[in-house]
Amino acid sequence: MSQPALVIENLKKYFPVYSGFPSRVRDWIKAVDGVTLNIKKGETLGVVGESGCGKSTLVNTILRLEEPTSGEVILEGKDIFHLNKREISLLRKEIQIVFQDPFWSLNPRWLIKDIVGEPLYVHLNLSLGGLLSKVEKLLETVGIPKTALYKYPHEFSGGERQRIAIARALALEPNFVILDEPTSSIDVFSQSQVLELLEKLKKEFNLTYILISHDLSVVKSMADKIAIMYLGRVVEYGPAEEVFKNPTHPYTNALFKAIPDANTKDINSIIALEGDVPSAINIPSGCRFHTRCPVAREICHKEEPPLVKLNKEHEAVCFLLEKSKKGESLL
Amino acid sequence: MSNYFEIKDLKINFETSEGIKNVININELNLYKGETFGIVGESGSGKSVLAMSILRILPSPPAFIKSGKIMFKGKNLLELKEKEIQKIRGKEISMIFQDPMSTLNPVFTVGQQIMNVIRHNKHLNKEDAEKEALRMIKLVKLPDAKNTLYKYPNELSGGQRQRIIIAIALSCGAELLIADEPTRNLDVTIQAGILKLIDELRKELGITVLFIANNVNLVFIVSGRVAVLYKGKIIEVGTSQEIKREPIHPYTRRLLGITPVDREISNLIEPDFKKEISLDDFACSYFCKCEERMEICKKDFPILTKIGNTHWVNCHRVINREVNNESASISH
Amino acid sequence: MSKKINYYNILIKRRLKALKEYLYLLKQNKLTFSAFIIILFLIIIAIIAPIIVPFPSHIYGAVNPQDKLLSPSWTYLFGTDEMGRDLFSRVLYGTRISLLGSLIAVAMGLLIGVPLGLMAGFYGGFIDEFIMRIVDMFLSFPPLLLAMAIAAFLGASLQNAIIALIISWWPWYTRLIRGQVVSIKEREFVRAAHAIGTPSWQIMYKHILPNCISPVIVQASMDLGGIILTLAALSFLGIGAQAPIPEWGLIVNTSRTYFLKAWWYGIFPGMAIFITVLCFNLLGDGLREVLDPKTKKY
Repeated sequence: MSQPALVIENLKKYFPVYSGFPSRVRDWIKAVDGVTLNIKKGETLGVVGESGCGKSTLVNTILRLEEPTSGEVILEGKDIFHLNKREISLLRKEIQIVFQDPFWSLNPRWLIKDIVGEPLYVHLNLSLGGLLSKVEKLLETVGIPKTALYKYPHEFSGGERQRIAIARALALEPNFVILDEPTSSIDVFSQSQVLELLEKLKKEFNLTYILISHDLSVVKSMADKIAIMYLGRVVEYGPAEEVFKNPTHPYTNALFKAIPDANTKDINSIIALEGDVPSAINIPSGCRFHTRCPVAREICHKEEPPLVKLNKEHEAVCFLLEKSKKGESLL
Repeated sequence: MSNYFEIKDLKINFETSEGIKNVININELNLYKGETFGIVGESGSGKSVLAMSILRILPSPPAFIKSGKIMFKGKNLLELKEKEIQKIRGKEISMIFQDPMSTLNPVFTVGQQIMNVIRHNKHLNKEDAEKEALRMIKLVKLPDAKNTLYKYPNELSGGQRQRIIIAIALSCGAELLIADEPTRNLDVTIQAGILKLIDELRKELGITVLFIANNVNLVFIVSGRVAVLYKGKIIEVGTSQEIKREPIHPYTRRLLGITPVDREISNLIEPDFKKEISLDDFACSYFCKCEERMEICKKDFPILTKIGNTHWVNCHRVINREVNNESASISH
Repeated sequence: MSKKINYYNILIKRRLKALKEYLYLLKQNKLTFSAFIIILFLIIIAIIAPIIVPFPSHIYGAVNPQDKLLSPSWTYLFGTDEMGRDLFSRVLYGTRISLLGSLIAVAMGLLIGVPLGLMAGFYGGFIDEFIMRIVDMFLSFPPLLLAMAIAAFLGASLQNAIIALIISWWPWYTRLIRGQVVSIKEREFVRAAHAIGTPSWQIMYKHILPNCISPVIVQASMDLGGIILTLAALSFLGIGAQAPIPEWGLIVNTSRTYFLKAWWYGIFPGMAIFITVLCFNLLGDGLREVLDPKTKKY
């Protein structure tokens, strides 16, 4: 139970920028720039970050929809980037994804039975009757009535469509499910239904979730561990409760303080960060957050900060933490 | 009753393939000069329709304003001719939207776009317009204002573009700013900056802000008074403090995340209420989703009832409570 | 077993319902609907032509010199030509030729153009560049010159004219589809299909194609008219259908000589071309409206 089920080791994914004639590579977009994470079976890892932090690319790479530039991803002991064709097909059965947009993640021209049945159709050799029964059962698990089989996505509400997407993701009985902003685009009633459903399914099928969300209340309620990403790196990682109580990295702090929640008193309680997120082509020298960090020092411009372990599993990447841990004064 | 801005008995219908749908049904909504008034509503609640109807930019068909008044400084905006409302748009009432990229024209520099608006409305010559544009860019706290004038929209970040949009909106002296989900497409750390900017400008310029969003926490910290919109009707209105301290309507409580969620998955299959129980046209529109519904909710639409100084709620539970108290009148 | 029957039952019911919806939408626009009816009428006429034609022998050959150049009458509804042939019979059969010819040309154009466009858009990179350069090349041939060149090599005939048109037309479909594919392949349901492990060809034909076929259908219906017009033009110039084939353009061409003496000669085939092409254009336009509202929210 304590074996890490998914190990991501120094994963990098760079996208080339072509220019000139004939096309030459001029620059690299460093979307994911060295991410290392361990996820235990049955855990929910929450990934939090703003646009440009690399979480979508990270997800695409773990699903092998993109080939990595370097690094490893080991899923239950198997290195996913060195598989033969048959094993890749098995990979699809191991890890699946639920997308953010419930409208466009289902093909608007397809019937629900085809949408949910597609994974079964591609990977298993079932008879028509067998396929239909399985699809019915899947829909039942997510609380969608059988009559949905012959309907189109646009006949359902956002929350229902999201549940259909969950049914599709579970069709091949994966162990890992990536949830990419599962509740961002649906109304508040459906949000609680979907979250409840996800919790129930996790227990019932012993799933491991990677949850990407910018809605902290969702992450708080579902995640066991949380990783904060900025410009392609993980800047803070630890047990969710711990990180929420004691956000140590300056970015985490700013992020949490910028998001209003039920306890935020007024507009003066939220913090705005100066400047914009730098482009992933020109990553700032030294600590990549130094251009916007309210407590940046000399050294932050020059050198890359070390990984500081704060307690058992809580760690962050910052010079100031290193100093405060050592008991030194903060410059 | 407000002499500054008041919406009265506004009913807006939409023509759909399934017949005529009532999208907005607001009895009363008042704005006072210099405040930030927030409207919370999810998608489908009609908040954008409401915003667009104020400036009369609703596409008609399929939308039709069936009845009602929108009074602004003594004039009914719905009765003005097109020429007259043109004079109000941009000069007295301005609106900013969710997506700055589609609001800005990609082939003109932002400086040109601000100047176009200024010259159209204020009839200044080119140099004066440029000075004004520069002043506006500084007003929205964009660094390096002089160079920003010559930049194209795609050279700016999302947050910067939204600031330009605000600059354009306020460039001709508008005193009422309607902000429809201005930070929806922005990252949270940038969002905070925009919200603070809007608040600072409100204080500096003395403008009134109508802030519309679907994130309830956002609306509460930005606004002094808030109205909660559900399916085109205002179901609760009051100051942020009042509502946060004591949210009455079940929908408001759900939005604030207070409703305990412990329903069995089997209940997810919601029966079609309209078929099972005959739902009158005058039942409470929240009936189908309400955990606290009562018999009367099926038959009677609740009226806006006063429960605090400025706190009004649209719910039968409250009316029952208030039955012994004074009259449940509507005047603010 | 009963599940299977049930499944097909429901599927058929749904398809019928969808069809009814389409017809309803089509009816909304009076003009489009009339065009649609006229085209149906023309198709029916083309099919039953062999049965209703009054003078079957006049279509191609038999010369009837005593009845030459007669003005329209009850016997000869459209009059006769210089060889005494009944123009009504000839124009009637011309319907078959024009409709069939354009159908073949458009169908073949689609068969070549659509898969190429799908591949170009889906795979991108070198395949995309390669296919699109070929498209550019083919689009640079003026259809007329191409038809003349083919006529010079293979002889002038209706078949060769159709071949020339297929070669000129397929690139338009490739371009049209490729643009659509490029934007659709970024949609999340395509990413979802990738994540499921659906093979590429299935993604192209079952996921992407149904979502980008509408503009192609619109274009193809308008092209049906355009091809009839171009075939007629080629025959008019002598490099398409050759005598004695009763192709409309050819009849109009022959009528030029007798233009002053026999006003009826060129008018009827000319009108036939005009009405047919007009109806296809109107239908295409109307289809554009019908096929799009599916995505409209109202």
